[in-house]
Amino acid sequence: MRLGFVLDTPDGSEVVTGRVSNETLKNSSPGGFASVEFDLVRALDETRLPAKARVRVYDTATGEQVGGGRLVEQGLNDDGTWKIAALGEGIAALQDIDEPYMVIDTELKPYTQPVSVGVKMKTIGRKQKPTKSNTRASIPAPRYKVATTFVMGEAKNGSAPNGSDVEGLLFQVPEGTTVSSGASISASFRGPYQCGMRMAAYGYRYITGATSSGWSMRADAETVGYTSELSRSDSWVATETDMFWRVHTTNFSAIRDAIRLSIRREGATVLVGGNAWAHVRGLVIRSQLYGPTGAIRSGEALATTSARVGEVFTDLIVRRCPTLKLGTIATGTQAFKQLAWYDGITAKDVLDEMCESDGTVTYHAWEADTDGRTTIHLEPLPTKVRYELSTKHGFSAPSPASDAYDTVVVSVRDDDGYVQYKRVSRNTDGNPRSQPINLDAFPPEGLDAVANKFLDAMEKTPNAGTITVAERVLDLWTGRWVHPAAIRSGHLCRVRGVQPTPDTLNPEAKQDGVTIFRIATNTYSDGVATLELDQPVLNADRAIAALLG
Amino acid sequence: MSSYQVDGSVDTALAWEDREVTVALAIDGGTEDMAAGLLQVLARSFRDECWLEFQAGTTHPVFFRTRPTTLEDVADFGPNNPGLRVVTLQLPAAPFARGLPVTGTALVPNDPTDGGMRFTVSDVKGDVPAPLNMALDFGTGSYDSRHMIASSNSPTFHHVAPVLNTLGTVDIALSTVTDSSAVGGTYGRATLSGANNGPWVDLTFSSILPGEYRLLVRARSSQAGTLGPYVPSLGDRVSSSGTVWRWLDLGVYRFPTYSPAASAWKPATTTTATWRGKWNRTATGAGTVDVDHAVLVPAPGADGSNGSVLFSSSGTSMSDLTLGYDMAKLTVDSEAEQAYYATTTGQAAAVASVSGAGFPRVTPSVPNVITLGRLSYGAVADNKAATTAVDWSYHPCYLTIRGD
Repeated sequence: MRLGFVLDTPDGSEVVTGRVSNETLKNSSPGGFASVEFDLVRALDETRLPAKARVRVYDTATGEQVGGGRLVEQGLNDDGTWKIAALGEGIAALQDIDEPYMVIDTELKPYTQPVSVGVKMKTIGRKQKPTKSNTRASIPAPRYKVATTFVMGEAKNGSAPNGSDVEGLLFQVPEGTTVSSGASISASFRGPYQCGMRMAAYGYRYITGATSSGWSMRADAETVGYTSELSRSDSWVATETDMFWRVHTTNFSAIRDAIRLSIRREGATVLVGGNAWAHVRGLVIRSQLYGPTGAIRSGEALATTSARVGEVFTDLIVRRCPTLKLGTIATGTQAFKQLAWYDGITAKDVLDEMCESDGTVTYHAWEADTDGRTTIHLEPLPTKVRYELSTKHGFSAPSPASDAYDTVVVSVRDDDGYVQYKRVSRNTDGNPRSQPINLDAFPPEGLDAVANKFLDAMEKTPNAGTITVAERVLDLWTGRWVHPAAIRSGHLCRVRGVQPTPDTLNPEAKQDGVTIFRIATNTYSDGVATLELDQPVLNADRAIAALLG
Repeated sequence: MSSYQVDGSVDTALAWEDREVTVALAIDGGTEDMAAGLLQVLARSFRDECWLEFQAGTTHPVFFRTRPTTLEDVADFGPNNPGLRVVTLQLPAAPFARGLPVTGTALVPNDPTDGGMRFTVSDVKGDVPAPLNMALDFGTGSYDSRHMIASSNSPTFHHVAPVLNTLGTVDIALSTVTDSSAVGGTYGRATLSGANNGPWVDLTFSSILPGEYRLLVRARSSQAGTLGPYVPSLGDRVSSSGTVWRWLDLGVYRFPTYSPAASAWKPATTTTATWRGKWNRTATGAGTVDVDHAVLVPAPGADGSNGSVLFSSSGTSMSDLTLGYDMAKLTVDSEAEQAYYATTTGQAAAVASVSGAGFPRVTPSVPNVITLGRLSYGAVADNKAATTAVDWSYHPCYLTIRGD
């Protein structure tokens, strides 16, 4: 059996099997096909391969593809061969675009400016007493009100003046200001505009100092630099309203990319007391996302206070990766409340961050389809074992560099501003080791879940290792004996000959000299596949990279 | 004492190195100039690659492909023996010596029951597998633009008529239809209504050598759908669209599943094997699914026998019904690992887009079966009455230096 190599260039494809040596194939989870490297016999005076060239590697006995990628390096070796390196299409395409991106923004970081909202009035002129002996009637000097200062108002983050600790956006007119009809204080949220995206939906709750129809709480949907439209205008109420949504196309035009919230004096000019304030809380802004058919999803579908990995994955692939197409799309379980990167981010970083937080899904891209585009899948982590391996060709598990902890203290400031604190201990011998975790935002799964996740990872030496596979192994899912190069990362394997530390995959009750691992990477070269199991092993290179990075 | 090691070494990857041919020649040139002239002829012959014919009394010669080299060792015998030289040539040469070409033809019908879809190359000469070059002519009017060429040492070719099954579900009626376009004259039809999305397809092979096979199923349907194994595994689903007969490539399976690989201590014996698939359509309402025939193409790997598979595609744009371009000729040059298409009139050659990359090879002293699959994409139906004319040839590859 030989591996067959095919080079695709825009001019056509070429089989180069006979001219390839020192090949290394790698696939990883997440990612799918990760890299192909080889030395290619080629005349030094030939032109370089075009930038969009691709490589496909096959098991020639069965025709399955075992490696592939997009050309990233072509150098010349001193023995007259070219060194060719290709990066898996999924991993490469997810890093093509590095630009600002947002899905949902619940952090209140508005763009505000102080504006003149009214004036302070003062009465001037003297009171005059009529003189006693004066027979002529005196003309009293007039008394009138004049404006003495402009009063500036600006929206700012803070809590409402009604004594509650709830955080939000406060619009307040200082007491004693005379406010004319039409005066307003506003705050602008331009998240979608900053990312070159459009607004899909927004929603908020509000409460004001007094019930009044002389004031309004307004939302104007804008296209920055172009037009705007009034989207909501409600009278002031003294009790907190419900959250209600406004969605694109139905409630505001689909071309809007910013929202401006403001309070406005609708009634006649008035001298305000201490209750001229409005407090907005629970603001959620959603950007328009593409659905699996390539069309923008309806506003109603996007009007939710959180987003999951599946919908972000779909949008990123459609929006940023023309060389990829969607395969399976799992929904994901974690509800993310804040997904906005205004400084720029690649699709790969978004997915890596979300999949790691979610912990139940991962993504892979394998073969290209007949139309030249590679299918990428977001799949739940498999729960059934796929490969049967043994340690006979070598297994190693160097000690990880981290310490073990059996107690953790989790603290976070919750939505109402109070600090929540939770201590979880699994210690049984009276000599605990503990660590603190301070979170920025209240985790949706709760503090207990975060504490337990930490302890699961840190309580004992994890099951991890490197195994060498030098012959065909049984693939339980297809009932076949597969070549080591065809072992796909992301799947579970059962290794005979290693006693496990109890964990999710290897419960306490099944300590039988067989360990179940997840395959993190498969590196194949010279007929032998080296699999990294569970997580990439902390070897010296990675430790240094972690220190530097 | 226990260890994680296994006894003995394991060969993981092997390749043949170049051989070295050593030839000792005596030159009697008469004069020094004559001897020098003859040495120059020798040096010039071997400074570039060349073919060295060798025939030591055997009936047939062999040919070595030598690499550029120079004269290694030239001994002269002094002024008393002018023109006398003994020269030793150390010629690096390609590992295998080649023999005289062996050619043959085959006319392969497209009907698997008629001994079709395959041909054999028997009594292969040589010592190691040799690349098999082929020139295929699919005949005018063939618009299928994707072809499969699989070579293997497996002696059997299995095919069977599938049996449709409802497994008791409603909104599905089974019937057998007689039609001359079907393999064997009949095909199974499932008439769907309501939300039922398709029949189950059962294959039963009564006498099969355990091993890995690629499953091809001839089917058509009135609505788009996919046929896949009943217990789904990754990447084994293929969609069929359109109302014309097409061979669907369902990927490689092991029959029977999980059967152990054959070994010297446990040679393979024939057994029965079954496979169950499920048709899935996304549409609802009235529709039909027709399943005609199933074929197993050997795709050996685990069982120690040789095999390779090549898929070549001319791309749909090169099969143009309007202009009458049919990519009817395919040349597979396995020596150079290239494949290209041409029309019957010899124009518009297109380099084939290749996947699988297993160019066909023939192995000496075992049976060799080459299977041809015409897997079309287009709107034209698979025609079971078509034939493919094949001209094949190979140069035997020798480890020894005898031609046979």
